Amino acid sequence: MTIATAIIKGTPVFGRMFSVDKSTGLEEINAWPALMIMASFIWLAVAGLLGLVMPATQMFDLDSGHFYTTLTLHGAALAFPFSFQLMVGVGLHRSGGCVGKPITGWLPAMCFITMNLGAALLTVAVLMGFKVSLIVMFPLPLVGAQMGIWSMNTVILGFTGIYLVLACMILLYPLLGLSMLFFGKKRQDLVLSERSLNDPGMLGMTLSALTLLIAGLPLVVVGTTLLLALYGVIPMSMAAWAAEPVVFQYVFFIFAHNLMEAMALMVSSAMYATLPLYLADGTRKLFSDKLANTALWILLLTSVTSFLHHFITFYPNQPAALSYWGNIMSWGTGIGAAISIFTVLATIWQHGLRAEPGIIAVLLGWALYILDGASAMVTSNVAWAYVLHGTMWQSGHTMTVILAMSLMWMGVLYHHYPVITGRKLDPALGTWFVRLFTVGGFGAAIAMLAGGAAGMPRRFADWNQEGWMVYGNMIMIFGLILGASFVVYAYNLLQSRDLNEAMGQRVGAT
Amino acid sequence: MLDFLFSGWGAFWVTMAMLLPFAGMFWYVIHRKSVVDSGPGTTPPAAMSRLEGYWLTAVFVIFVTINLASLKFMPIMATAHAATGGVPVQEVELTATSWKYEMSTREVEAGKPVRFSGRAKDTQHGFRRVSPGWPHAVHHAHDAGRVESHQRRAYLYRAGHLQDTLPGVLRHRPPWHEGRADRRQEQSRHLTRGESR
Repeated sequence: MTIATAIIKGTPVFGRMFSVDKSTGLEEINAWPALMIMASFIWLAVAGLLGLVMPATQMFDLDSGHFYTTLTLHGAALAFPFSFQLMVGVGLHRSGGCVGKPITGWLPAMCFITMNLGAALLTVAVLMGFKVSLIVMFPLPLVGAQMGIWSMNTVILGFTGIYLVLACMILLYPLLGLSMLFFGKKRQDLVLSERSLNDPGMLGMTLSALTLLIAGLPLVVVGTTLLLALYGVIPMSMAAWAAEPVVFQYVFFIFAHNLMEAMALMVSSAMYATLPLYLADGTRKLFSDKLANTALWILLLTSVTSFLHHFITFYPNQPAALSYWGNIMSWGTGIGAAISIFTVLATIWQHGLRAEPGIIAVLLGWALYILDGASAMVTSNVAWAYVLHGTMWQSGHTMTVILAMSLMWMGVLYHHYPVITGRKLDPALGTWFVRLFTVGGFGAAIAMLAGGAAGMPRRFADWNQEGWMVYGNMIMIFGLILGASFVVYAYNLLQSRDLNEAMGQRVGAT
Repeated sequence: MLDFLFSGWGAFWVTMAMLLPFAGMFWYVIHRKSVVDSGPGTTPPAAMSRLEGYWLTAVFVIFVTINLASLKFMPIMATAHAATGGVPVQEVELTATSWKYEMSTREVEAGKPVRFSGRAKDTQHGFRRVSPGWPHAVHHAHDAGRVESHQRRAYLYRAGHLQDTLPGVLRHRPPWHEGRADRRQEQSRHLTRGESR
């Protein structure tokens, strides 16, 4: 039994959902992904509860300090230890099965440790008062310490946590993914569904890993310098260049923007791989692999420099030409999305679809991603950016992209779950999960976008005072529906049955 | 019409205009090919290729049209026009610190461009401008007092977008202060007096 399997076995409640199937000889590709997926769901539970606290503090006029604490924790927990870790878990499982290589050794272990330890340290720092935005907005963390809002120790603790999380996302996970794809010996006993790099289902994974690594390296350099200075290893004067707001913010968004694009590439790739498996006529082919790959390349090439749209309102610090470039490239990603839309719908039109909960979740997550993409393009236009920047529109966009990708990965997980655990999920519960998630996800997204359109500011604890409560109430209602969908999903995992059992004959999950 | 389109609600409805046709087609294709008739499609490949061409052309034309139409609503474009057009610009200087701000003037002449130059004196702040009949914009000012060239923000708005007098409230939002009860009370007092937060 691997250490990952042992940890899962020893974890109450969540361990029952993801206990690893050792009977098939696939433990080497099942164990670490299962542990990461399990940990991501623990963070989801934490983030979900915190998410409900935000509107509750507004409705019941509680201390608004709770609002900012939970806002920071909710955003950070959803984006990194939940969504990203879920992607890492399911993505690694896909990779292992596609290339026939085990997911063992120090790299997956370090991935797991850095992500979860980092997220835990950041959580502690936030609970100690470190209330920074999800996007850090350096030098806010240092300014807060300077003004006595929080202590320098919390800054150091928070930065250490963020650094560990980034180490997982920028270095460890991409290196693990690339090493599996290009190095090591293939083992036929681990091959589940062999794929080559020409396959859209593999190309996206490769592009995604490279994007994370390349776009993240400048942030690693800046982050390392700052952290060394904060710990006193190097004098602060040597880190002054890295502490310049313009340096930090640019390297941060070069990574953060491309992180979302990398996740989109990865999940698009997973959809291109999963959709053919559910085609009604059994052809297992996309409408056009060439078109699917073209969409991925366009998405990659346009998204790399579209991060400049994050700084449109920083004019004149950001030259206007760069803002226009960010504007054009952002809308260029829409061309990639349009090709993707055609490929997916044409595939279904030509071959029919077996509408099982997993693939429907993937498709609806993708539809939510299209909504998010539209909202992102709109706010990346220079004229609209000035109207929408800093409003709830941006929060809605951020939340929606995370929700969309999470739904897609949860759908892909439906497909991988029987391989990992040797158990199957109840399709009726799966359908309910999809319905509730669709209503909650689209509803919350549209409510937040509408709030932003009306001028509702983001990170603002006085909704009632300024008349934004109508949007807050809608966010709360749809958030509760989303929460219900996650409860149904978790219940389904807990109620999973052995693959050989008929429905209605539940057996113990362990 | 275009004035509305490039407002906050215009952005919302443009987003919905992109979503709804897609959502309708998405639902139709999936329902038709999974519930009504999941058999192989009979559409000839040539027809699919034509459809692909129409779809991508339509997307490209719509994207380009929207962005071209937005040009005259871009504040930085208006700034450039004003700089090269010889139109006199009315300067309004803003200086902000936590919970308050000062303005060099509160009245400007209608019909002429105005440049707001904001500067935060103590640290990094966010602020937004709210005016009747014009959707507010939210901007950021950086940690003023450190590097002048980095901290100044200049926004030039098209003349027609300003009222006879400046907006009633310039909201000053220091995000890291949020949540403190004492700050909140102070904030309420400022608001009561018509000052900033």
